Amino acid sequence: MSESDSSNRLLVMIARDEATFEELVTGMLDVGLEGATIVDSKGIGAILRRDMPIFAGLAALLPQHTGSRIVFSLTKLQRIGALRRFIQEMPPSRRPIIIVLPIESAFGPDDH
Amino acid sequence: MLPSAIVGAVAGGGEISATGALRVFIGVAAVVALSLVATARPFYRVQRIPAVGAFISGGWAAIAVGLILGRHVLNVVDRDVLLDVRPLIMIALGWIGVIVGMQGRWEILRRVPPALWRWTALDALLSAILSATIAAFVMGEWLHPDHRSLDWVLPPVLMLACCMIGWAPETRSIRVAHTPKAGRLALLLQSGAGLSAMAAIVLFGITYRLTGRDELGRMDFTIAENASKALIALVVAALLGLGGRFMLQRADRSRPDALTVFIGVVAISAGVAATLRFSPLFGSMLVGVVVANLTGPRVRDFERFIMGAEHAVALLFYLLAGVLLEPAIGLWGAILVAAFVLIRIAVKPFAMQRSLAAHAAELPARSVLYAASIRQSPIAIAIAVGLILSEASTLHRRLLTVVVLVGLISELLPYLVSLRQRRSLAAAAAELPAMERP
Amino acid sequence: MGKRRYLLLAWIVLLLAMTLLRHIELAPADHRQPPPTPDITLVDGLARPVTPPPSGLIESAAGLGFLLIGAWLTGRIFRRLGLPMITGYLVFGVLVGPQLHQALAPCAWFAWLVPAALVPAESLQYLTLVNNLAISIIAFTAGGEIRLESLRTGAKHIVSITLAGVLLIFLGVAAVLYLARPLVPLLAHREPAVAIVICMVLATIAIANSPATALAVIKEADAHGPTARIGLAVTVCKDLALVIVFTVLMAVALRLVPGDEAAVEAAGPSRLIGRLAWQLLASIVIGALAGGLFRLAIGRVAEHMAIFVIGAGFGLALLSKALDPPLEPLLVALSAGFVLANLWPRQSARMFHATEELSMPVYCVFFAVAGATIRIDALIQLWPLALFIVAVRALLLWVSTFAGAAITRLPPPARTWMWTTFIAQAGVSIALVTQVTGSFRNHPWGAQLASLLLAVIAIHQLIGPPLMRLGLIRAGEVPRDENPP
Repeated sequence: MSESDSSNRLLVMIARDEATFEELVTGMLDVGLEGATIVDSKGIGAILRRDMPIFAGLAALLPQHTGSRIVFSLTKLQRIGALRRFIQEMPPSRRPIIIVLPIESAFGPDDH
Repeated sequence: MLPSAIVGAVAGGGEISATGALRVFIGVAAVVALSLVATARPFYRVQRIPAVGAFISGGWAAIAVGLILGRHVLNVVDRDVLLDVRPLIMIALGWIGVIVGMQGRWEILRRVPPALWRWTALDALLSAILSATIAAFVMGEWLHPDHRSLDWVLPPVLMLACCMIGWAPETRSIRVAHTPKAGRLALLLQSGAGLSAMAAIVLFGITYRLTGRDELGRMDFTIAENASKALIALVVAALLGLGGRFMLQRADRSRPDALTVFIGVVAISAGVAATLRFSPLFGSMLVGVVVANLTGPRVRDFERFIMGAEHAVALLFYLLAGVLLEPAIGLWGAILVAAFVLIRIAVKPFAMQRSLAAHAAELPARSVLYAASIRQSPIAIAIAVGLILSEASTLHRRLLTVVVLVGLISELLPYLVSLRQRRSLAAAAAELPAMERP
Repeated sequence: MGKRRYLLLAWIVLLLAMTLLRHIELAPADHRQPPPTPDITLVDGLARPVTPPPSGLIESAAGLGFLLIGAWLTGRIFRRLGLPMITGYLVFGVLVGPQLHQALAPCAWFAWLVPAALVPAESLQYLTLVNNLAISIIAFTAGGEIRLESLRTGAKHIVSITLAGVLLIFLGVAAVLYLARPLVPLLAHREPAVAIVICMVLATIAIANSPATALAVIKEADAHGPTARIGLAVTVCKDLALVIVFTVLMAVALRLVPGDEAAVEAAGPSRLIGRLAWQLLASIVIGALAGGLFRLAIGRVAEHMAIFVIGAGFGLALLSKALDPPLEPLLVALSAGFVLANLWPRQSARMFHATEELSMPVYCVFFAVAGATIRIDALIQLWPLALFIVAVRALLLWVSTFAGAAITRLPPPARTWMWTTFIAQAGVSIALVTQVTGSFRNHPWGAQLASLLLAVIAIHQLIGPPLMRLGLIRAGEVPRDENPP
């Protein structure tokens, strides 16, 4: 990736559960988005529940995986458009949150 | 009469009167409104204020609402009409059992430090023995003179003993210091509360079966009969757990399928336990343990689904407790409350510090969290309400009131201690020169 | 092992488990002492009387769970066989319910194997609360499916098919039965007035159909098109028309053949018309207001929509019953759904989506309970006559629907296949039968008439869904992947 490619964007997608994530991965592959970094995440709802346990305090001993994930991907604007169209076909409850950010510059291992 | 009033095509009874319908409607609306408010984000924000959190975390606001709606104040929700929806309440009780049982995953249990096992065992032993002794004495005076033999005294005594086991897991409302040591102590408190909840339910399940009465009022105390029934219960729980896992794997990823199976597994767990005259809480906890130890992504989906409703189900039980309790506990009831609170103050911090003594270096020397274990476990409310489901008697309602009062008083004490400590810390910080203030 | 066999195995294991549980429940307990006398009063430790839970109440929780899982499994099996899932729910209910058990109990080996119904009648009655929720949810969803735009474009078809259906079916069934009365045991040797009343009652019940079944089949098949859309709207309109027809029928019938005195008094024309007007108008208005209230709440309850939907469903059902005279819960929920979907389509999408997610467990219990209460005894006793009436009704449905659609030039294949949407009958029909039984309980033919009606409804309940699914497939409104070979 070079500094001057202005059609590149940073795509940040939050998939709140496994089902959403599975569909999102399918969509990404369909539109040609093959490079991505995936991070396990937790929503604030899970944090709030953790702060106020009622019956199941023992679960605090184990790191909780809520099924939520964040996907980071550097990609071109056209692919984002295609991905959005794919996501619009999904049921509303399965749609991820998508944030598109402009990039000033980005460097990969081969660009130094 | 036009057909509109006949909703549902089932022959036979089950229909309620217009007045009853109105009352249940108002009750349902109140329950729904309260559960939506209490699980909404703005309310979580309010709960983060220590004073509010202390009041809310024990469910006391919901209990108060239930009391106001019940027959002693507004008489909007008739408790007898409410008991007609026992099947649904039993399923909610089963839900709690599954929540507690899902903690029994081997992955979690092997992380439990030995100190925590010691603490749970010591707490259960001391709390149960002391409270059973006091309760036996009080019951000997409280119960009707014709009903002071062992088979009348034993059931309430054992139930109260189970309610005294354990403590509340929430620590945020009373925690003052946010140091790593305090964090470790809070984690131990939280996880120990979960473990002791399991212990309380196991003990309750056993005593419930041993001291339960059948439909003719006879207590079945034969060991052989109960041992065989216990074996059946274990086998049934294991089969239900395996069957539940099988069904979860067969369900589509669609929410409707998953929801149907999830609710069905919980309902069968609670219902089969109740039919076999076991506590639905105990039966569904066993199923939860079995399911939790099975592998598979759908099992984790099930776990998240079950846990996601924890606050809403807890709220339902607090409301029910408020509607069902019987405030007229009299002198002996008040003595019981006072005695239990004193036992909690004396025993709980002692058991905690004794069990954690070997880890003193990793834990704070002084902390209000050492008083946190005085607070009663929310499982106590579930146990007391569950007992009313099986036998809706005046005695059980008064015992529920005792449990609620013990919980309320035991909730206040650590909070007041933490308040005092917060004020003294704030005063000490105010005396520091401005540059040195944290 | 194929998926189908896994499901079948699970299904068999579930039935065995239910049977075993019943054996355990009914096994005689060891007695340490002789049983007490029956009139003993149970007391607690404070010597206060204790009312033990009514028979069947505690067991109904397990019954609910078994109905849920069992119906779900059976539905999955039926889907693999190319049949509608709700037929599977119904069949499961029939299998485990008290009616089939009663019919098979005389067989010694069956009685030994299955000592009592797997879901007994005492437990079923406590599941009416779930039925209340089901009616609300189904009607709410149906209301949400009916869009103003499609009503405008389809209004003439809906009105035409409804009117044709109501008139032709009522007149046709009544006429055929009256003409055939020497051959019909129930009608032969009756006075003309009685025969007319019986024919009118049968004809009125023949108008009834099942919006719940229609919606369930449409949703399951994911059907889209005029057959589904207009067919659903017509089932709703027919049920509304049925209320009017039934009211008039009872007024006329009780004048011709005196029945229960209280019923006669209640069936006075002015009282009935007043109540009817109140029911219809108030149900629509209150439902619309409820829809508006839901709109206000939707934004605040987004995270817990499922709890809100359940509460709303119960609330609508209970509120309808709480008013005096009571409202029509189906119409209240329908009106709420219609207002919400048409005035606030975007904002209400989430609520309808949550309702759809809840619909499967609700349908499982609702249709399984309906199956468990199908009167098998009536069916066994009266199946030839019942089949005859079913055949006559089916023919008239086809004729009336075709005629109504042809008048307004609704093109095929909708015109050809829409009649299959109206075959199924369910809860409302059975409620009407109960009404009829109550009004004519003083007459010897009252019980026979009720049995015949229940037998007819039973057949319609069982054949309705698969025929409707077939009709939707033939009309080309079911997507290919929902339409297994």
